[in-house]
Amino acid sequence: MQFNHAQRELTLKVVYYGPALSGKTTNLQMLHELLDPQARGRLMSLDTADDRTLFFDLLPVFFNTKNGLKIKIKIYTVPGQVMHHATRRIVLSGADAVAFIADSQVSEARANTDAWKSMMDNMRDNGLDPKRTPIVLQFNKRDMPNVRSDAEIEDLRARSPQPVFTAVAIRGDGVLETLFALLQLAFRSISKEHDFATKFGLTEQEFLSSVFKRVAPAHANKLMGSFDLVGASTGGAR
Amino acid sequence: MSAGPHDASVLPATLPPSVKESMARPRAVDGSIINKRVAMVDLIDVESFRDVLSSFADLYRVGIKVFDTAGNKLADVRVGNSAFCGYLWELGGTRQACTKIVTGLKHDPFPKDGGVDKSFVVDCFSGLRYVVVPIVYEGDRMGRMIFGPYLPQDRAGPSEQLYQIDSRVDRARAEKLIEPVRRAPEDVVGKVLVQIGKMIDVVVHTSMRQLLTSQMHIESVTASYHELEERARTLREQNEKLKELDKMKSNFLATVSHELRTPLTSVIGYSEMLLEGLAGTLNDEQREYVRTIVDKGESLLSLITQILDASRAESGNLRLQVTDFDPGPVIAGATTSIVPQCAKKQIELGVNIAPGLPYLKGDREKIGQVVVNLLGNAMKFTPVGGRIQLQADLWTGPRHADASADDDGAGALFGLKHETFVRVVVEDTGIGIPADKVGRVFERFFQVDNTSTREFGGTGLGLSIVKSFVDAHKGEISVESVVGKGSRFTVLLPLP
Repeated sequence: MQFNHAQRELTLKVVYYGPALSGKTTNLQMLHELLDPQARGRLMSLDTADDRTLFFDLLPVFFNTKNGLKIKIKIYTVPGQVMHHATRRIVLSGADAVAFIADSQVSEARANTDAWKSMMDNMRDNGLDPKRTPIVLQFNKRDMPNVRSDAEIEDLRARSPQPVFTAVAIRGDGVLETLFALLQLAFRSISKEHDFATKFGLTEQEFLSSVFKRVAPAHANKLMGSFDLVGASTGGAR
Repeated sequence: MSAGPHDASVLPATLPPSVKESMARPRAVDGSIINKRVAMVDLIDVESFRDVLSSFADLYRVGIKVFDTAGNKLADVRVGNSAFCGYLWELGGTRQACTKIVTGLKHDPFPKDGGVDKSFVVDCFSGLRYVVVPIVYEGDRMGRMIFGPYLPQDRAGPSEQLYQIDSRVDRARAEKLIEPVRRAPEDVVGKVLVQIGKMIDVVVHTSMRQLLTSQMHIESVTASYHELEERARTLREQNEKLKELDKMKSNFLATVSHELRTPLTSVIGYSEMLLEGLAGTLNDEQREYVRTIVDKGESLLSLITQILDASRAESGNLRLQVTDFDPGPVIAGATTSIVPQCAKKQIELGVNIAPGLPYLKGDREKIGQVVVNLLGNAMKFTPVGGRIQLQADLWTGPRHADASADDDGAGALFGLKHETFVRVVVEDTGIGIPADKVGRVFERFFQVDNTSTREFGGTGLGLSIVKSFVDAHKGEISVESVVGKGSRFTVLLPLP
C-alpha cells in the first residue's frame, strides 16, 4: 500500500495469481466489463502474439470517497507459464492482497499445487509473510466436466484459513465476490496497521460500500447485503 | 504516492530538456517500474508529441502548450498571436501584466469537482482567452495543456483594459496585429479540446504500455540472470568441495594401499621361505598349498600396487625418478615379462624395436610399466590363438589430440606443430572397444564391460595408470579400435 498524506491518496495493489490458463485474465476482463467505466481505466494486457499473458494484465480502478480521499486500486495478473518465474516475483512485490485462481478440473491438481507453492515462495522472497498477507482462493471453471465436486470444495472451505470462492469467470459468476472479499481482507489488514478509522474516519463498511457503489453500483447492494463474505466463506479460524 | 528518483520535480527547472530527460529515466534498480509513478516526460517521445500537437494547432489555428506536473515544457506551438503578444512585450506595463498571466497559466491550481481536477478559463487583459486543461491518466494528473490564445467570438478586438494598463499602446496597431488571431465560438473550442484530450490520452496510454513492456523485459531478464548467476556460483562451490573430497579419497587410498603392502610382503616372504624348506621339508600337498598362497599373494600385491600408483597419480603425488636412459632395452625387457603368459594362451607375440633409438629423459621403471600394462591389457582381451604386435620407433608428426578430425580442419589449414617422439605401438587382435566407449578407457575404474558377470577381471586401473605415467612424461597416449578386429594403442614419448 502506498499512502500520500498530502494528496490524501491511497493506492492498493492486488494480484491475481494462479497456474497457466486458470482464468486470471478472464477474471480481469469480467471486472472490466462489470465495473463503472468512470471508475476504471483501460485493461492493459502485455501479451504475446499467441495470446497468452507475457508480463501481466493491469486493471486500474480509481475514485474519490465522499470525504475527499482518493482511492486507487491496481489489479494485476501474473503470467501463469512456468518460464515467467522472474516476472511473477516482480509483479507480486508490494502486493496488499492476493487472489489465487485455481482451476477446478481434477486434472489440474498438480498445476494448482505447483503454482500455490511458487506463490508462497515468491511472497517470502518479496518479504511478504504468507500468514499475514490476505489471500483469497477462487475455484474457477465450475462449469467444466471432471471438476472437483461441490462437496469437496465445501470440505475445503471448512478447513481453509483463506476464504474460498467458486466461480465461472467466463460468465462473470463469482468474480465480484472474489474481489469484494479480497478488498475486505486487504482493508482489514492495512487498517489494523495504519489505523484508518482514527486517521480518516474510514470504517471497513464505509470503505467497501464506497468502493462498490462507485465501481459496481448495480451489484453493490447485493454484495453489501451479504456483507461478511469473508466470514461466510471461511470455516477455519484465521 | 512517493516521488521516485525518476520524478522530474526534484530537478532544477533550468536544465535543458535533454539533460532532464536522461537524468529522469526510470530505473529498475530500486524497485519495479510497476510500483512507480512515471512522469510524462519519461513516457512520451517529446519530438513526436510536438509534431502531432503542431499539426492539431495548424488545423485549428490555435496555439497549444503542454507542461508536465514538474513544470517541464513538453510542447509549445504558437499560431497567430506572436506579433500581437510581441508588441505587448515591448512595453513595460503590458509586459508585467503578461508575465503574471503566463505564470498563472502554468502554475494556478485546478479547481476541483468531487476531488477531480477541472479545466479553467483564463481571460487575458488584452481580450484574448486561454483554456487550461488537466492531463489526467487513470486518475493521476500527468500535466496540463494550455489551449490558446484565441479571441472569443463575441469580442470585436482588443479589450479596453489593454489601453488602461499602458497608455502607450497604439490602438490602430493593436487592432491590426490582433487580426491573425483565431476567432472561435465556445462550442467549437469545447469540441476541439475533447478531441485533443482523447488524442493525448491515447498517446499516454500507448506510451505507458510500451514503457511497461520494455521495462518488464529488462527487469525479468535481469532477475533471471541474477538467479542463474547464483545457481552457477553454488555449482562452482559444490564442484570445489567434490574435488577436495576426491583428493582426500585418493590420499586415503594411497595411505591404505601402502599400509596393506607391508604385511602382505611379509606373508609372501615367509611363504617363500616355507617353499624353500627353511622351516623343514614340506610334502607335496603342503608345497602345493603354499605355492597357491604365494601366487595369490603376488596377484594381490600387484593389485594393491596398481591402486597405490593410481591414487598417487590422482592426488598429484606421482614422483618420477628422472634419469637419461636408452628406451630400447627398457621396452625389450618389459616384453619378456609377458612371454610366458602368451605361450600359455597360444598368442603370437611380435616385437619390433628399431635399433639406435635416442635416449629419453624420464623414469625408466615407469616407462617399462607402461609397456607391461599395455601388453597385459592386450593379452587379457585377445582370444586364444590371437596375435599381439609391439612396434617401437622414432617418429615425427603432430600429436594425436591436435590432428584429430574434430578440429573442423583447423590443423590442416593453419599447420600443426610437428615433434619427434619415440613411438611405441601395441596392436592386438582382441575384442576391440565400442566407439562410444573408446574415449573413456583411460578413466579410472572404467571398464568397457562393467556387468557383474563380466568375462575379464581386473581393477579398471591399468590404462588409467598408463595414461598418468605417459602424461607425467609430457607424452601422449591414444587408441584406435574396431569391435571384433582389435585395438591399437599408440604412446608418444617426446625427446628431451
